[in-house]
Amino acid sequence: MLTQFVCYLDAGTGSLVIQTVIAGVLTAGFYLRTRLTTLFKKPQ
Amino acid sequence: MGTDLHHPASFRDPSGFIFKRDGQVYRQINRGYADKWKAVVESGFFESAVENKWLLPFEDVDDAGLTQDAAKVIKPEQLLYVSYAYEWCFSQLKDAALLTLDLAALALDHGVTLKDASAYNVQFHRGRPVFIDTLSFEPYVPDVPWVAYQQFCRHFLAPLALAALVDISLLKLMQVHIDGIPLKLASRLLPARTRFDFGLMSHIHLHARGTEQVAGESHGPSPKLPLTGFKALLMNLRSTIEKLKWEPKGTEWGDYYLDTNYTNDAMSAKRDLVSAFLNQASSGVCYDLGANTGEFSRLAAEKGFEVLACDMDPATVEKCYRWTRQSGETRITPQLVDLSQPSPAIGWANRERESFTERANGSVMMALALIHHLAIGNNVPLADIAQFFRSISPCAIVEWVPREDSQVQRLLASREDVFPSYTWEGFEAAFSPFFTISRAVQIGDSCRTLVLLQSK
Repeated sequence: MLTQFVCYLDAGTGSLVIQTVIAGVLTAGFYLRTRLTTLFKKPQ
Repeated sequence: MGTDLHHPASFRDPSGFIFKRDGQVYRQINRGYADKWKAVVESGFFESAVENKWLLPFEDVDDAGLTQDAAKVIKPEQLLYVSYAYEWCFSQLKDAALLTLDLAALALDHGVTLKDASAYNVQFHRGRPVFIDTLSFEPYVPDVPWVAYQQFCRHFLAPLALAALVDISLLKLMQVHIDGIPLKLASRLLPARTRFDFGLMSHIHLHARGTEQVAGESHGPSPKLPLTGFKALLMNLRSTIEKLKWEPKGTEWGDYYLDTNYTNDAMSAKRDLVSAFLNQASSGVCYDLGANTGEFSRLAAEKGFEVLACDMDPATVEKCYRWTRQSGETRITPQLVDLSQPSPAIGWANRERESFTERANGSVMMALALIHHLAIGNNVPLADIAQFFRSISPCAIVEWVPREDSQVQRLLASREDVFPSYTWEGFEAAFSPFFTISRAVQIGDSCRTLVLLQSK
């Protein structure tokens, strides 16, 4: 339940959901970039 | 207890509040928040934040507090003056935003979360932004999203994006929307091309749509935000804000000092006179009204005054602020104020954010090359100007710009002259109920007079 996040300020239900989506995209992007960098890293 | 006052802006957070006692500000920590406070203190976060000069230092005091709910009382370092987000230039708001994000990231490193990202929790103190609300932190609970995310976007990202990408004057929207600019409004006003910028697309446009669509639905699975995602969100907000830029150019006052009627000799004589008059004022806060880029604010700062450099032009305030940051000047705080309509008292019961004059605590004020703009440019009677100056400070240094001055003639060129009392005699008569003219010296190589006024 979202009530566990209730603060004295209204955090906004949509805001709580949307930030998890954005953070998910950012984390996935970071993970993908790291993997691709590793894959195409030139051998020393 | 007669002097104890619960601050009218400090009522939302049940964790505690600030109050004034004998002119000093204290913060009461309520019993309901005491355990969280203890955990945050033990995390070492406060020490790190104060060491970085990101958080206003405070000390524990032996005080019973203002109500029976008091668990503890702390005394923060006292602010010299208070300014609000709608009185800041672009870079001031941007620096305050970056400070808030850096604090949120530092807090996470200590197992603490920032629960309140209001722009009003930041003040400019000794030349830099500093976070003032020590009760805005609580222990981090794993996977819980950032409750202050929307507030941060409304208070910082939306006004900065609108100022940088639409018009600088939109910073003043913060005065109308005391809890930050609604994201739906920001999304509508921002240009279409911002939808191709990941940061603005997600934190403003998508955020606005998501808030609108999901509003009111409080059932369903709890959204989870892992710590890595939380940090990624903060980093992305930081890079989005860092990319927003505004250059101070193209405004009426930006190049004022290139367009004055002062000769070098006259300017030098004026500096000497201002300097001599400042020597006769009590130390403390100096209000430089119509400060432009802060030329004379620097003079006051050199003499040890803490200076509030006020001007109505976003470009000059921006230039002044950039100069203080680059030079490391800590005694000058620029403030964006239109003196023909200074910031009013706003918020709940008109008491949450005090008006410009309610906050005024100057020991001296300067109004150099300003009076003709107020009296002729804005039709304000000289007596009203005198009364306003008296509400700012008991001592005033005013430059009298006579009718024959070319700048006054310029103002009169496009309007009917309805100012018969705009004369030296009229000035004396208007100011005499409030001030005594201590000195009045004509500025060499100029027709202007510098006047030192002391309250009656």
